[in-house]
Amino acid sequence: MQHEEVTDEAIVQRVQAGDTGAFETLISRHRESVFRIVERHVPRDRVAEIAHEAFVSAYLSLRSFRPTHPFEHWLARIARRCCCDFWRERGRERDLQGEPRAAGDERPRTAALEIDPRAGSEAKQREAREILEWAFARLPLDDRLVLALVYFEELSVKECAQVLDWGESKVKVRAHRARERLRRLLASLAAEDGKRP
Amino acid sequence: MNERSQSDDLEARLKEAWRQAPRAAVPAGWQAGVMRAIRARAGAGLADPRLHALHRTIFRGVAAAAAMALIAAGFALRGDASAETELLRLLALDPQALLELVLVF
Repeated sequence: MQHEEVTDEAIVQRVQAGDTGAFETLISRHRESVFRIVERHVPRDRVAEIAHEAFVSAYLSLRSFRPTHPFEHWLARIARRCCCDFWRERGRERDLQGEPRAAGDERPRTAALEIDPRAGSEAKQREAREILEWAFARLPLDDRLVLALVYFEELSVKECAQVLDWGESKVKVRAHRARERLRRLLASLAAEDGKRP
Repeated sequence: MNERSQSDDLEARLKEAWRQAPRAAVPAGWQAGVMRAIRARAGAGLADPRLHALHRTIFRGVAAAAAMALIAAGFALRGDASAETELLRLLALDPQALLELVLVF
């Protein structure tokens, strides 16, 4: 006999009807994808905590879920929103404590600029990540968020607007400006690198 | 390579680095922790956004009715009509003050 898997939407209905335990099936199904989203956005030591918040937040907002869209997409939006909230909260804490936003002035090496046939190597990836962290540390929070969502995750303007709770035109304008700022930073880094012996 | 294409190339590499972020393993007991948090909140029931919207509408309605009643009462007490007009003008200019006034009453 063929076993038919219960859909996410059917499980959501069970949870909405009071079967809280059924939510565990949704966690089991989607925890990997939620971790995958969160680990791109927040420091490694905070991934589990933010993923936890994402599922609790999803449970608490379950009544706003409409089965016209896949549950996975809805959950992904909540996970991204939790990541954005994490950075906003951290930004507020830093403002209160008077901490500088960009720690350390040391520029990363930019060998990642060079065309290298072994570009997929672990060392190259690590180097590119260092450059990314360096650049992100120098961008305003909203620029980082919109860049991450629009250019790196390639969300649509509409999806990004939903995650950030912005209007679509604001997303377009901010994304464009943020990308220009990133490009200027990268260009300055490349120019600096060109001057090095 | 010109500056623009260098930036394009680096941007593409950064995007790749972003996508290839090191994977974080799901810690043991993490799922049980999430379910404990959810069960702890389950008693309060799921938040219904329609209920929140209804509460908001009721609150706004009550606030508007109270403000109107306040102004009508002022006129009914046959005080100086110009004072009520002035109050009305001030409140119209400062909705925050109107809200505070309603909350006081």
